[in-house]
Amino acid sequence: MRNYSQQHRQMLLFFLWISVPILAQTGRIVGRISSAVNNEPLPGTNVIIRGSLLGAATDLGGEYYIDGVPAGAVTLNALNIGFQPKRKTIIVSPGETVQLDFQLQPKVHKSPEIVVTGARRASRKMDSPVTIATISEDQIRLRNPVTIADVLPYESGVQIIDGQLNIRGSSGYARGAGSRVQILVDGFPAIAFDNGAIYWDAIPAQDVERIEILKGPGSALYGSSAMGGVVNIITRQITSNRKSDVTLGGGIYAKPGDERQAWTDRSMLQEDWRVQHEQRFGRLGFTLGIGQSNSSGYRQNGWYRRTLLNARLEYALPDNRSLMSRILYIHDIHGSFTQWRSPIQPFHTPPNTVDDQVMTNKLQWSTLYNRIVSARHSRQLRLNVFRTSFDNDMASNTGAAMSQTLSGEVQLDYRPGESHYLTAGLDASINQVQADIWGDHRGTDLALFLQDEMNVSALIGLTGGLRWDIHRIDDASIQSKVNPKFGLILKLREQLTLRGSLGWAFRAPVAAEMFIETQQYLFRVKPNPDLQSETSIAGEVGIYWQTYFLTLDAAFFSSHYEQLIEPVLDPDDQRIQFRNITEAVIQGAEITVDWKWPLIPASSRVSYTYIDPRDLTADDVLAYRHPHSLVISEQLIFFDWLSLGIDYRYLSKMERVQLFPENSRTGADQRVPIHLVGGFCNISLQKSLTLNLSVENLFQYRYVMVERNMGPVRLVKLRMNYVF
Amino acid sequence: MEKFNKSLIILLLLVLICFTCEKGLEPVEGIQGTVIFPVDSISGALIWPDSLRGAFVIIAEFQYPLYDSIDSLFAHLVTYSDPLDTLEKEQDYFIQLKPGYYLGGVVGVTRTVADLLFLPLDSLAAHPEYFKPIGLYAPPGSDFPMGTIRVSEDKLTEDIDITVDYDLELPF
Repeated sequence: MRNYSQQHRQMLLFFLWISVPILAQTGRIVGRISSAVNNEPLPGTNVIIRGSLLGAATDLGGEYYIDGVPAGAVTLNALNIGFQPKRKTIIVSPGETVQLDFQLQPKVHKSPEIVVTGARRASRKMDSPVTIATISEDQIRLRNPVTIADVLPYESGVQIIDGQLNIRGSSGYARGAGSRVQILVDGFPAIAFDNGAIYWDAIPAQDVERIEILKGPGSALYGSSAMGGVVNIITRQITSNRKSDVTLGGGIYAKPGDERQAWTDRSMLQEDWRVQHEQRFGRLGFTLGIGQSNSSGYRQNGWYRRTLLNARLEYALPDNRSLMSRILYIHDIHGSFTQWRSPIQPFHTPPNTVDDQVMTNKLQWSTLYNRIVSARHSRQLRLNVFRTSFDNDMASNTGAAMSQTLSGEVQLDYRPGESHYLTAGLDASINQVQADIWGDHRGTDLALFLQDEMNVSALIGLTGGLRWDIHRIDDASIQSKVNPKFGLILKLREQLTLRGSLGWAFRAPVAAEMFIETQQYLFRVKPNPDLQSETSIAGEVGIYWQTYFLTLDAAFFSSHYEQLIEPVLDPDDQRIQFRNITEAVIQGAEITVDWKWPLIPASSRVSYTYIDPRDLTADDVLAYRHPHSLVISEQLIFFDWLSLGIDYRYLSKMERVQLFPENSRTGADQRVPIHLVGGFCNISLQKSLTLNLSVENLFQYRYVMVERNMGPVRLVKLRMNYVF
Repeated sequence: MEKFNKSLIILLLLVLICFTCEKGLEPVEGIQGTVIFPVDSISGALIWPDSLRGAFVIIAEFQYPLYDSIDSLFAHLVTYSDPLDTLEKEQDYFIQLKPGYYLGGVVGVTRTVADLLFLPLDSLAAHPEYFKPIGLYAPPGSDFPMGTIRVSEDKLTEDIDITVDYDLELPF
């Protein structure tokens, strides 16, 4: 009885802790942040109360407010990239509103970059024990991508092989199935349950504010699919009271150099349009958008027609609570290109597949409830519905599938000390798939995670984390896995850190890998219901150094995989099957250098990655990995309204492919090193009209990344964006 | 300093362009032609025997004197094409080959073509029972039923047309 009472009391206390607002008397801070040079407002400036989780970002007018500020003396930090941070202390009285304005001086040194993916909370990029790369809104906009997959390969060590995302060689090629990189949109998972694939068209490139790439195992925080890394796509918040924008774009593919290779006499075109409106009524803001994009493709059956609808709702509730809900729907029909007709007709599909097409639908509905309970305590609730379906209409395959995931997540952040953060959470999902090519299945996932970050001194920061995942599919036995991680940061100087990390990761096989039974063109795939989860241990050491003119990020990394799931050709029946075959090690090094040229408005970036992917079981290299990759980018800005840039990407020859390897008797070998050059020109007129001209594969380089699939030809694109 | 920076940028751009002088995958050497399947003289419909489930073009090394059996020809296979479309009366094909001399023909297969698609050549040679020769390349106007195919360097050898004959009698 006594025990029961104690338990009851503890539960009651816990309940009160998570649900009752802090009753301490609080006040409100409001203010405006502007440039000290011209008094222009500075939108997007972060204002954070020192030693707490309370904070806000300024709107387009440079204004901010923070509710629930504890009474007494508080210190506020104002941070904006491009300006020197400023700190002010004021006295807040209970129930009163205090005005506190800031004027920021343009920076002499670059402010530290803030990221949210490495620790599931905002923190300095240079304080992460694992490499995190970021792609800014400018970098995305200037390259004028059709999908986000067009810009990710400009990041060192990131490759996309026919839709399959690969970070530092973690993935090979399996027609997109079983991604080893978790894709998040605003922190919500966006990988289909049934085939574990990323639908790139389901991520609207024009809404993206920033992309963060965690280049190491993320399973200790993000679970199964994050074995090879995490890509978190952060979309724009509603920042203005009223804004509409219209985007019109078009592009033209070049004809192949050899006329005999042309598959059509018509121009190969791409076009898209989009209309979006956002408005704010007091605490409520919404965005509505509709768009369409069509393309003939650069090769036969490369066409697509897509319609996109999106809506976003933001509601700022009293007491530092906020609600965000986002819905995205994409309807798509596209041709299916499996392989070329022959090396001399590489843009033609085989004659009996010219009518092959696929229809897909994607729906994602994500809701985030965020509450800053006190200066030291905040919590988030996330709900996510992700539904995908496809319907094949092919000569060899008329399969269809519908997959849906309902997931929920609770995350609690607690700051027990000035530089001590605790993050804990519960993550659960229910999954279902109905398909005639991999059957009807149900899956359940449950996970608990905990992370502790602490600066033990001004020099040393430590991170420890643990995630316990439970995975079950149908009536099979429950698979359970605990993945810990450890991190160390040595802050040698304000702008110089050394890092080290060690993390365990796993990936449970997806329904498609276990149960698929299908044929596409000539390729037949058979099921393997006994497939087990794959696991890895990965570590890295690195350095991050940032000055005003130069940023350097370098790392050595090593990952050891067991039970690696790879598609294998069964020599007995010539069918492809996913198998746990391999013990593998991938080691390598990476360096990225960004610098601004003194005296001229130009910036450059060079990044290089080397990987050595070894299959220890077969004593061979792992297939579909490029050992060397290099990206060089140059950008020049004139008069604040004109930007010019050029990008060069190099990928060394793949050492091994699986289906159609080189034939020494005929000389057939499609593998070549890849050299791609692109460029862009961006003109901003009166801040409301933007024109962008860009070109991809400027020199018409001919290459394949997957056997019998010629890479894209030159594409010249023009896009106009008008905001009113 | 500014001039130096600009010069350095221009130099970098030139280096980039030099990097990209290569054009990548070049047009390949090999043979190209058409396989002509027989049609019914009255209805014009494609004739396709029930015993065959697909067909390939095969290429073997040329040797003199010629092979004395189908088994010895299969033992010297160089490559085979993707499966031919069994619904088309005339079908174009292409096979990449190194410069040299070859013999070519069409074989019907008694198994599903996908069963044989990724088989290595020695496995194919070990199972000649899966195949039935139904066509041999012979130059137009030639009296001899089997002709030599010559592949030259950096050149596509065209018009290697093969007419299918389900009652083909091999010249060896």
